[in-house]
Amino acid sequence: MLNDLNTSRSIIGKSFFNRYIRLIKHIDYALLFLVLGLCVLGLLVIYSSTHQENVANGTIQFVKKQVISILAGLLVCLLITIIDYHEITKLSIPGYVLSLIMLVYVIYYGKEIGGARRWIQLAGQEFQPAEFAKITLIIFLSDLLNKQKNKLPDLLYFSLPFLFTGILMFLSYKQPDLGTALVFFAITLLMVFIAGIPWKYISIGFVLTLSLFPILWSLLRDYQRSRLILFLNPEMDPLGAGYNVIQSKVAIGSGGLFGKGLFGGIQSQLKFLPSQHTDFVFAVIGEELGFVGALLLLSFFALLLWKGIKIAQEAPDLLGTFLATGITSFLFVQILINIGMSMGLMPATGLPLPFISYGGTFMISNFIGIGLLLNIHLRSIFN
Amino acid sequence: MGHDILAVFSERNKRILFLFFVFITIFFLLIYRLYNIQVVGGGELNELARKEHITSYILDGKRGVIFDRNLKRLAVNVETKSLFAIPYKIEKPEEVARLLSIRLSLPYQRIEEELNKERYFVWVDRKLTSEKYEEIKSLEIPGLDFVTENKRYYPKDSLAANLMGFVGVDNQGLEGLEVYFDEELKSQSGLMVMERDASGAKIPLSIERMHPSKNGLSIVLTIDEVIQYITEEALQKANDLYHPKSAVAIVVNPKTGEILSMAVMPSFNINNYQKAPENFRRNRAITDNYEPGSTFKIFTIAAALEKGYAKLSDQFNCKGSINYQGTVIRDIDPHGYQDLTDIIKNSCNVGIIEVGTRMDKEVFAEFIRNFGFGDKTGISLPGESPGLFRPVNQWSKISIASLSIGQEISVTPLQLVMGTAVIANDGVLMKPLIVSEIIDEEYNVIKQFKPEEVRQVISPETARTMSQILEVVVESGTGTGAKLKHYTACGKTGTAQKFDFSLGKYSNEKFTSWFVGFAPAMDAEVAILVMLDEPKGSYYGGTVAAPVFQEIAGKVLPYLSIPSE
Repeated sequence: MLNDLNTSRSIIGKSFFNRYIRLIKHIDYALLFLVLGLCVLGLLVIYSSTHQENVANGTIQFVKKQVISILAGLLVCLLITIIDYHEITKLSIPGYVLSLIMLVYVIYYGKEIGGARRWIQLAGQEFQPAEFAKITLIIFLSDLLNKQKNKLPDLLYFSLPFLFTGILMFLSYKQPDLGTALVFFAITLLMVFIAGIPWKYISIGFVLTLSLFPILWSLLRDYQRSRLILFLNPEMDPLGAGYNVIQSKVAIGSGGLFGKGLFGGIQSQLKFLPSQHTDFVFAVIGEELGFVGALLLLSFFALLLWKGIKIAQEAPDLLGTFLATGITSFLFVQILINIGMSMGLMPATGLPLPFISYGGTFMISNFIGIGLLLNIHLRSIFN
Repeated sequence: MGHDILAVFSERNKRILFLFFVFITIFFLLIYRLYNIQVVGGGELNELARKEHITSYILDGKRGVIFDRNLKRLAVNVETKSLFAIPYKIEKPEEVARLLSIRLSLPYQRIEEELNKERYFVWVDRKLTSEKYEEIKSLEIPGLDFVTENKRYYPKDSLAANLMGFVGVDNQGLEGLEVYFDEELKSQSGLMVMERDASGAKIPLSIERMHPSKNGLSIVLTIDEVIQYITEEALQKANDLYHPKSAVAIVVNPKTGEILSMAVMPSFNINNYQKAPENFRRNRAITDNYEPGSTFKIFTIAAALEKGYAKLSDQFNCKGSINYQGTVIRDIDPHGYQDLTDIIKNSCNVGIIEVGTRMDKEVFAEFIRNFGFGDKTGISLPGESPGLFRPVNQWSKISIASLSIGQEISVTPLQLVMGTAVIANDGVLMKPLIVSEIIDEEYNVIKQFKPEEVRQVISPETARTMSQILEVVVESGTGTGAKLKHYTACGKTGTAQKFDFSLGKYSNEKFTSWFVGFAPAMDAEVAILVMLDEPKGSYYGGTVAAPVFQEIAGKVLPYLSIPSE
């Protein structure tokens, strides 16, 4: 009996071990290395755009922190990959509630930077609940859409996600962080689309949104309105709120076909560009690596999205499909808004570029997303 | 059922693919935009980027010095500090504005507005006093800094103020010599073009181009600082006694036309010109017209002598008034029988009109013009008036009589002294000279202005005869107030009734008092004009103006080392 137990334990142990070896062997390494490649490019750009920082050892600080973020992200990613996503999804409701609490907390006790409370001080580290909430929202919505499939009447089934997302959007708007609210909405929309929302609902929603526009407009803060107006005409106030957009465009434009070479961007190096290592990092790439470099970056991103789409299609079940589309949508929306903003195609809402921009919470939440994709990919092989 | 699931599944797959196509389509839009910005519009934006990070710093040059004829400095430059701000580096604009407004005595509102501007550079206050500079520097407010700028400074404050003029805050000439010779005096600001970062800080060792500043050229005046001082002092004394509305005294070298001094009252402190009313800044010696009155008799008699209308031996009987063409012109007293010298000595209107009216109108008018009246003298000063002299076809039937005694004509004090200098210069009219040389920093002469003869107006003989007559005026006539202890002198007084436009006739209360003459009598070194407009108390030229001539000539001649006679 004892022997039996020991044997069975060892068998269990062995199979447990073998199972993980097997899993690790079949990880989608193309995806992982694609992401790591992006991270390395991000590091170079961060180094380039901060190495003239006035702070002593400033650059080293930035690069060091980003390296730590990447390593932490990678660790979390592998952890997420190994645990079956069905297990993770069990935490969907606590995750959503936790995000809710943190978003409320940050409004009252958050650290204020530049007029917005977006950061929580956590164990000496600054932490952005909004980035965490993006991932928990995807998990929560996937779970919801999966469980309620064919249980709820159509109208309720397709509008319930918007209700839960609406709460988070409202809290983001309170921070205020319009960009994140926009990302929440876009993710939800795309996930509900995949869940099969009839086209007629989409048309009704579209008309409804247009008619609600005046009311939404009145809810915006002055600076948010001015951003939207300036998005349409940035030259109106070239040194004021339109400054960022114009500077960014100038920087990108001055890069030309082949760019000025890494570390050679005058606009970025001389700090005409604001937030050049966070929100406007693409402008540095545009200036220093030129059209060719930017095109290459966009190709990497397109490849990343294709991987996500493939995983969504090949997912073993509906939950996997929802999770994968949610994460892919999240990455896409971030990329679109960030790059669009740098080129004056989108209002400047202050969203970072996945895997490139400086920032710890964002990096880790991106890696969680990749972890989930790898996870679904693995289950599609073994199931 | 199975069919159903498959249908749903393939519908989902379609939607996922559709999503990807949406992604890719949007990516292509991004790429299209990128292509437009980077490849199509790249050159333009690159140029904009270049302009943006390159900045230019103005290097202030020094304005030329104004020297007197002995190279004494009348206008110089002092280095001052100007305060500027880099607005976005200032953390609490309101507090800084409050601190600065108290110390600079500037309105808080204005400073706060400047400090809140979204610019890399704003002026706060230019050309500070050293006390203000030290005080603000000691505050050590980040975002505030100073640049060195040259400020015009006039070491003698008000000396020759109306002649010198002044400059504005950017050292641009605004009045007087400063504006007339602005082209020569002004410096060329240099330009240092360099790279800067967004905070406006220079990037070390990155100078792209440098155009050094160029200092202005200096001018050397014909003015003698000492004579100017003597002239102003003498005029000031008369001013204190008679409180005229305005007063002018000019000292000229009759042989060269060089202006040795030019004093105008009221005057002002050039270093503080903003506080002076506009009419205090005018150079009345050239901008204002006055009726010359009896001083003009010099030119009537000179013309008549030159053309033979009169001889020294001519006899006149003054009964106290003369009826010319139905108009009665009175004299102060009946002078009785006089010769030509006597009528000038006594300034007898009756006698002069008799001589004047003998002349052909055209001849007299030509002489008046030839003496320089009705025309600008061409002096190198701004705002010169040509005076007021009507052409013959606009004369009334009594005009020639009026003109004989200096009415119906207005002259500038400068015209009158230049005309009088003709007598002392063998009949030759000189162009007045105020600047003799333009020099560079090493005192190399760039340009020289030489004495210029305008024309021979009367013969040297007539000039000599006139001198003899005018010497008698000072010796024993109306001009005894101008008599010098150690020198002979010639001159003529004038007491011009001012034309009262409200009454339409000459006033009995407002006068312009004149004395114009030269010394020594037969070899004059200086011609001097004194004019007091509307003096109070006394008004006779012989009483009010002649003593000023006496004081000026009495001091200037020894100063010029003219041997006493």
